[in-house]
Amino acid sequence: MNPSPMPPLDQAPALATETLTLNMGPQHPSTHGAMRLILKLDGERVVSAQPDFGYVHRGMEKMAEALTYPQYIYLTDRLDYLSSILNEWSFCLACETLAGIQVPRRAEYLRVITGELCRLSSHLVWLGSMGMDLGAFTPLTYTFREREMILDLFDLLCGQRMTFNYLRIGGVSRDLPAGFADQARKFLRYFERLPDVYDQILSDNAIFLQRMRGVGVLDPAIARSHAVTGPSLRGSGMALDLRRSEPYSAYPEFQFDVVTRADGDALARYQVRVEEMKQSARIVAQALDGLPEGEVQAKVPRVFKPPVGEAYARVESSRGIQGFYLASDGTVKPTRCRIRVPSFANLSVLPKLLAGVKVADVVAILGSLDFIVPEIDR
Amino acid sequence: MPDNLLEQLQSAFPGAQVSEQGGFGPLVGLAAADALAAACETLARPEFGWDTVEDYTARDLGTSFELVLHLVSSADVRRRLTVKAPIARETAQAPSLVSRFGCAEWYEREIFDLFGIRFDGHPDLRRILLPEDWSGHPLRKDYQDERLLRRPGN
Amino acid sequence: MRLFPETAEWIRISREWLVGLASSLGLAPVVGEAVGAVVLMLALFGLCAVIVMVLVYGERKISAHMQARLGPMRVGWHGALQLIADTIKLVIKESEIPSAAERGLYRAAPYLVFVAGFLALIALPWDRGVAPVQLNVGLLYLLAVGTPGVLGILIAGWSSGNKYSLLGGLRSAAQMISFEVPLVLSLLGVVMLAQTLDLQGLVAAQARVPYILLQPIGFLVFLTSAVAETNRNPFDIPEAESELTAGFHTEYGGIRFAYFYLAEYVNMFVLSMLGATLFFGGWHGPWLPGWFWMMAKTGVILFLFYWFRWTFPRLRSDQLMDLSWKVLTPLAFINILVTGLVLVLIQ
Repeated sequence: MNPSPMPPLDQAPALATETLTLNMGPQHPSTHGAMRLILKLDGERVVSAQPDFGYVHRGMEKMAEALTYPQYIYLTDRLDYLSSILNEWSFCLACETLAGIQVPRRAEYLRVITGELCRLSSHLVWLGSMGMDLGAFTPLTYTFREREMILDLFDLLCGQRMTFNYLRIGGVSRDLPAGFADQARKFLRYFERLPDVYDQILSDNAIFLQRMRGVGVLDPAIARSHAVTGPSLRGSGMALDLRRSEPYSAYPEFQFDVVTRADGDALARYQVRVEEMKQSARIVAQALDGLPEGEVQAKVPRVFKPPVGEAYARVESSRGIQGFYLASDGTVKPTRCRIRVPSFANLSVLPKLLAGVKVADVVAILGSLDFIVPEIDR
Repeated sequence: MPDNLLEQLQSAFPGAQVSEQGGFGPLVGLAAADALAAACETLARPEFGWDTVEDYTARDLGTSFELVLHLVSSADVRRRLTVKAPIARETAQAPSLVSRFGCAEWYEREIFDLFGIRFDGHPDLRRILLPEDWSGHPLRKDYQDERLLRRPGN
Repeated sequence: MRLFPETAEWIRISREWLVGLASSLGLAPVVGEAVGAVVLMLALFGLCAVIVMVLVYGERKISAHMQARLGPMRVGWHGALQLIADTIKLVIKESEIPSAAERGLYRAAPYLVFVAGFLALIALPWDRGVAPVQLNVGLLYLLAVGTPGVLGILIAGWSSGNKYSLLGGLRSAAQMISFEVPLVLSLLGVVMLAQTLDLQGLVAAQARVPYILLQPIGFLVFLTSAVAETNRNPFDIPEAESELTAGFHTEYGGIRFAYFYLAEYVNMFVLSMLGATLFFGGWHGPWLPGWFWMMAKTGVILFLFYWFRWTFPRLRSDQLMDLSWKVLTPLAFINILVTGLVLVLIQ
């Protein structure tokens, strides 16, 4: 039996291929929240990636128009729940700017201490889940163990382990309890050697480096065009850190470095965050040492009614510039509360970053951008 | 900030209202939203240097809408500027800034989603936060929804 | 000097007793042999189950302590009976077959994978002169009998009727086939030194020096390939939970999933025991019975398997293939070359 002759290879008919549409999420361990990523794949390569979020949209901007300013503070915690204090801070800053309230120095220091501890805690969670996404399961338990110590500090301070509701307009709600400073210093001493431990088990690992180096390179011009801020921007070489460039609160009094890396790949963003953890610990130590005496909250009228006007105040949150744009019409409730969230802009580069990468790199890139979905959805 | 910055801005935007915002840098209130793209181009020039968006949102002023654009300078991030442009309530339309700023694509989708303002020239104007089949634009002052809880007045 | 009589003696005595029993009952001696064989098979099956229980418990406890936590603590003393509870849970689950699945193959696939591992157990040298089947080409048999496993995975992936299972199955199979090459090549150095394929002979040849000292590169290549063969971290991308699909066993639940799970640990055990046989000196060791040393050495390699899983991130598919073809295979060839040269020079 003679089989029909095969055509020569260069004349073989081209195979028609289709792109495969794959849904990642909204329930997925790697999307860091309830977000859907619609991937079109051609074999192992991503042709296009479209994020689809809104699963956690709670209408926070609309809610602000129905609540008074002090009533809204506890809701701001729930934006970026891993760095709650930093969200409360920008809202309180905006309120204080509207009403022209001066925050006492001790309160500023307390805000810095709690804010930097929050940033540290947020970066610890990010580090653990970054490792887990790439298959290194163990660093997660280690970073969470460290984070437990921070959460214990917050528990001691304000009775909460997450979503603290600690800041108030004009200061903070309560002073440090006895033993807080000692416990915090004990934690800082324990934490000193930890970034090197994480380097040993994760950052210096050849497999980890292979998966992160050169992956998801973010061009600085694209980053600026997409309003990217925070460690994702500093990993592309731009030294933009609000705590240094537009210092607010007590930051002018502290020594710390603004960490940047020039490569712009996932590894650079990773290294920036690990270094930032060290800097945060440094700031907390300085703040604890230099804590001035005084009031913890300025004299604010019981019914907070700022004059007509607008204020746009921002802080350097663990993910970027987080800000509140408040417009007051002279009543007790804001007439417009706009929340500027870093993750929204940071995520907008994702379609550009993911075009043409391999499927396995999607997870590494998502992790290195460190976004959090409830913040995006508000 | 140079002393004559406000004058420079006023001469660059003759029809606009230029004022100082109590520590936040200048406020440029344009006369119409059509001028927004050209204004951004002017502001990005080296002598002004506001070339990066930080936030891009809208407000419902009751009788009309207003686009609010917070710009920063990438050379010196301490320099901030706010641009406002009014939008008529009936038409609720504005030109898109997508060709200038990469982030405008999503910010304008969000403004469309929550305010109902349509952007000419936007490649993919659809809802971003709310489900596709949602009716109404919640951040409008006249948004009605029986599910909204009415709280007793404070 | 041995403290206990040889295990082979015990087995010979038991066999003779069974044959004697058969004769005294008036049956042909072959009945006694047959009964002996059946008892042996059942014992092996039971041993297999016990081994897997110990392995899984070990994995959970060891991984827990590596991660600064405790692991199972409630069911039994320090969670020792946890696996029994998990097995009961898996067994009583509803056994459903997806409508798009190819029913016959879907049902058969888990058993194929399990049988491949089980067949390997019967040729391994548990002690001097103790192996359920004495084969003078034992090593060849062991390497060949792993093939139904790969086939089973491919069949599982394809017959599930799910394109993601298919992709996962293909990736798994590609990975396993790619790493077979350095696995086999790394063992050739050992064979050249011992001049035999018989597993008992290979162990006997290490009476003075275990081959890990003579074949360090061979051992490293073998270890890496073995971890990849069993689809364990850092080579577990086909089953990675944080990736897009759960691999070839996505559509399997209940007892069928239990078989895949069992098969993974049996494979791990077989490869560890092979490593202990060929590189650590098998059942050689002072004072204690040979099977004890064999188990201890197997345990060392198993610990390495666990350690790797919980320490390293995983490699991407293309990096994995690069490792196999561009690093391990050339290394294995160099190893063979060097070994051959040294052997020729010595003679």
